[in-house]
Amino acid sequence: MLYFKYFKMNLKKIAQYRLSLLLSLIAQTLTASMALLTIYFLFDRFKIVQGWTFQQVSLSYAVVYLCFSFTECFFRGIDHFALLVKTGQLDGFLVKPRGVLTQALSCEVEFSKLGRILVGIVVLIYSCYIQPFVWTPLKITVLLLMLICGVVMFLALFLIGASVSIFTVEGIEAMNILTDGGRELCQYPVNIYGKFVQNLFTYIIPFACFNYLPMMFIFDMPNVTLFGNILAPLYGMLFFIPAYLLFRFALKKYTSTGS
Amino acid sequence: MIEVKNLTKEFKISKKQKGFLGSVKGLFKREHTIKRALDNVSFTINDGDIVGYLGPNGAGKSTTIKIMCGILTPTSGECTINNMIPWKDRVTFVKDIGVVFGQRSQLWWDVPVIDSFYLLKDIYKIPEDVFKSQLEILTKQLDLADIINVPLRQLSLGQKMKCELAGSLLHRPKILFLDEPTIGLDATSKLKVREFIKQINKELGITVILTTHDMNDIEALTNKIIIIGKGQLLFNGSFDEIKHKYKNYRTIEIEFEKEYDEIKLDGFEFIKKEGRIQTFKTAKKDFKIADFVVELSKKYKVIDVQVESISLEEIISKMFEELGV
Repeated sequence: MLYFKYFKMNLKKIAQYRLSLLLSLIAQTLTASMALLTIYFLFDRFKIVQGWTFQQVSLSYAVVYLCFSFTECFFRGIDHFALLVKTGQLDGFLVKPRGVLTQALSCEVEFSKLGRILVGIVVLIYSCYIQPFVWTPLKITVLLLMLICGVVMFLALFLIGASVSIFTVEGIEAMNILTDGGRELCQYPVNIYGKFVQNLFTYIIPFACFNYLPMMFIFDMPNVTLFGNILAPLYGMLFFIPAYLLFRFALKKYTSTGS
Repeated sequence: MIEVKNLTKEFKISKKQKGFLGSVKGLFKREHTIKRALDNVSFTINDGDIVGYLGPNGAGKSTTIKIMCGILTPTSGECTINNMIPWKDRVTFVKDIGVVFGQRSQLWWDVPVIDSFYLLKDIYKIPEDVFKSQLEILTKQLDLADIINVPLRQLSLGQKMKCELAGSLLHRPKILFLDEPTIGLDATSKLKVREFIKQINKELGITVILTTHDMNDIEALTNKIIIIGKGQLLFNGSFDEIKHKYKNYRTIEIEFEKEYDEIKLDGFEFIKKEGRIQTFKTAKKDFKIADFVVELSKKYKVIDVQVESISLEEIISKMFEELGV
């Protein structure tokens, strides 16, 4: 697969800058850990936020954090799409006999973000461990689905960001509100927010599909249904389709304007 | 075979409005002006040609090249290359072309060149044996053996260009697009690159389309020139044709025995005076140097007369002048 060929190249590239990689890895790991500690202290003080226990929030946080870091680390090119346009790399993709999306997804791996992934994994394992209930095979499956759906969801968001960066250069900061802001918001179960934010993250950008809804099942909450909660991550992944269509549309626009 | 027929490309340019209120307004309603980057351009390029594509900055050169590479779609008109429409059959089409865009690289900056070549092998799905033999040929012709294992960033500009050329030819394209292939290179590298382009054209029959501002590139390489200005086709023909058309344009440098004031000569345009040397231009059809010297010697003491035909550079700027580009 082309992705792994590119991956090998990226490995060779960072091999040239080992020290710099090491330092940024340490920095990334530290920042990520700090952010976590803040939450820990917060809960240490208040125990429960809007009916959610520390165990529950930590799982939600870990899932979102891990998914985001994973996407950002391994599919950096699509996150950096505006740069690909600016430097003309996109033109280079267009004269290669491969899909533009494949090349954009493959072209860059940000290894320094591995630090965040590491923190994410540690927190996930820890929060799985401290849960008061027993992990059944179904619950583990749902958790894995949540992780996959989360990555797909962030990919879709990056794709939307990429499309926006073709339409307007100034739109990039606005997009960060969606991706980074969305990540920050949905690290907590969405029902702690007002109705508007809840609806936004359930129906418009279905973040709730990969944390809040399936987590209700994992936490044995009342009124959980197969289609409404357990399978929610699968619906969430459908979000990729409109995002991909938008990207196709944006590319078409690019080839007609060249900017 | 490349056939371009009535190719037109228009760009919408949104006007930036001044001030904060203007940019807020611009979010909702934008005013557009339409810029015609290409206006009804038609030409054909045969297999095996080396074509120089010329024009001043902003004339529409890169727009045309981008359309021919399948990056841009034209507003109207046709472009058929090897029976394919570049922007419609993009993925199949680009297998047959190689592209070197002047200053941006398709090779990896931090990684040995050979690794970039292997990645290109995977991107183009080049079979192992084809890749091996092609790499061997290119390494020999371009003298790459010593630099192929060095990261690109450590190479000189000339070495980089040689690697770019090799990279764009690994998949054995039929057409090679070169955007300013000799820009910034020293004299020896320029000669090497030119020689190589000639060689692959002759031996492998690759059609080469190159844009350049270096007229020596054009004189040394091309058998056909296409000139555009302001999006319109100005000239399409051979180098000799263009020279023939302007052959009567001459620059004449006269060295006198002593310093004279500006001399007025009928049919000659005074250009400059440097001490005893004065320079003129003429477009006289019946110019004969012997007669000219005899005539001149009647009035002035002449030591030396040098006549130069107009250079391609001057021809082209003359063309642009005449057409008001």
